[in-house]
Amino acid sequence: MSELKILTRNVSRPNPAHIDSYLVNEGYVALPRALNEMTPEEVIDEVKIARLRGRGGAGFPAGMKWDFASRDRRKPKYIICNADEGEPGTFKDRVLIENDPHAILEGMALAGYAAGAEKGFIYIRGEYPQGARILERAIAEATSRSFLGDNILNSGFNFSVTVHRGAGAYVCGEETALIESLEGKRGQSRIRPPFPVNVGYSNLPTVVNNVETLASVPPIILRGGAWYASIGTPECPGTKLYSVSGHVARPGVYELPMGVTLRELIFDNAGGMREGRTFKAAFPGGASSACLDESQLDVKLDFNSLAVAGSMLGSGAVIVLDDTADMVKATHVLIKFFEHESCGKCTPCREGLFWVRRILDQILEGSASEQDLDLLLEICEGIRSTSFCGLGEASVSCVESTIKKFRGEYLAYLRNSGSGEAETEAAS
Amino acid sequence: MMKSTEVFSAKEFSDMENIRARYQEPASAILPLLHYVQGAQGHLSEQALTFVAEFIGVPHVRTFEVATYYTMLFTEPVGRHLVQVCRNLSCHVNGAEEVLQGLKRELGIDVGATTPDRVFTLVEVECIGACDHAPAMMIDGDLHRSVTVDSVSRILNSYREKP
Repeated sequence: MSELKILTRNVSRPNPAHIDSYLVNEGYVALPRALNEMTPEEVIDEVKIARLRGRGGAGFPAGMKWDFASRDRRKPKYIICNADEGEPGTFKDRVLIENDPHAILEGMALAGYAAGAEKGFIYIRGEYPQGARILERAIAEATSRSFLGDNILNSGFNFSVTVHRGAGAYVCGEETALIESLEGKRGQSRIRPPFPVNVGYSNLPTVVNNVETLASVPPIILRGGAWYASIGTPECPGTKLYSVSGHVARPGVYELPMGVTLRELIFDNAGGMREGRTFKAAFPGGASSACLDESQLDVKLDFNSLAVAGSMLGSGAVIVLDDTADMVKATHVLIKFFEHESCGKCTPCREGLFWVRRILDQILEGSASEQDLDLLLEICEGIRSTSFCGLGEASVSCVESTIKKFRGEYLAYLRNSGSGEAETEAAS
Repeated sequence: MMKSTEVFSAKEFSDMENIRARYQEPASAILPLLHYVQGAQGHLSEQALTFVAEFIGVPHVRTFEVATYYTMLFTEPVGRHLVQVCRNLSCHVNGAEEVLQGLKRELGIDVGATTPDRVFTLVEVECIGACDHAPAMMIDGDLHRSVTVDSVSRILNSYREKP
């Protein structure tokens, strides 16, 4: 499938982040149109017609979020752009932040108008200092031309944006942890409900949208929700930015209609596998998604199809592994990540991941028994079913899925302390 | 109440006032202030954390709990340059371990340690969003992509003389 450049339309332009580059390609056309010709309700309706679903991972309909926040009568309200992309394997938002910051700002202003918010924050991960600088500069440019600030384009609508840098905590990508962090606390998740649309930043109505979601809004307002809904699959319309990494010939961000298959993405777009190597597995939604094996290469990469396949789309971070990959070691790497990033709030995630990692250590050392595999799955079940937030729940997908699909590699470690590669054939 | 001059220069204090003024909710300025102080002073001393808490008007524990939560904040002195190596999956399968070994050899220190001349601190980090150019590492704010064992020494040397 060939790329369809809606979100990445400006990426290859010269000096793409500059406001003049954005303006020549219909930039800041949607915002005045909305302010002059549409009511906030009409903006929300257009996004609902588009059936735009949140690109951060949850896939929640953006129009509904805006609607809920707009119906809450308390003020002030807030728009938060979640630019804390920390899911391992994800680097798509970075492309938009560095190359098209104005699309994000225009999307935020439209969200603010729709939901009735006058203040926006961009919570950007601490590891993106350059991105933060680019956004700051873009905000200054947009403010100087009255696309942000007080009385935008003489419409009476005020909207300002502040860039807020995170400091290296994966959990802050979860919207309630992000809000805690923005409030100057440790980034630990809150109980939901109440949801941020009603009780968010400073306990006031707050819309939290991912970078990619917000950047999708200006094209929707310009060309209409029906146009957008005609792209992709009926349940998951639009294009998606897929971050492809690992053992492919051409890693990178590819914008494709939702529902492209894993096979198409890898072999048509990402250049296929490295020379002489064959596909073994892929984590289609980053570290927290269940892996897919060769028999699942034709699964469509959208929210619904991946859920049916027992995995998830998440942020669209496709980590591809070839026949040289050791699935037990790969799982160990991912679990060390989750153990390190556990915020410590709830026991299943904090303690459980410690024990999962310990057992994986022992398997790799050759000092575990087959019973330990069952124990591992039992602990994973506990973590999945009782963790406080979604990140804890999803942290064990890698263990469960690799044991299910590549059990032979685990058994090889259990039988002898050598490499598991010899047993791969038997497992698949 | 601590005096700002005990911990900060006049310029630093005025920058901090500007940062605080960006937020209607003063506590929201805690993280930006800690970023700023660490940038100016290298790490977050107990004195600095106490001062920021009073400056914001929150209990002292608030800045301490924030400072000890986030990976990128340091309550102990670190080297002049912070070398952060990604060890997550996309980098791992593309040679991150070899790069890390190379860095350890070149610097003569283990992960988490600082060189005796206090020029470099070596840490592992989780995904810096450069998986398309794995393995990747960051030194201070600079991203280094597609790092190889052979390029490690050259990259480090380019920082030795930098302030």
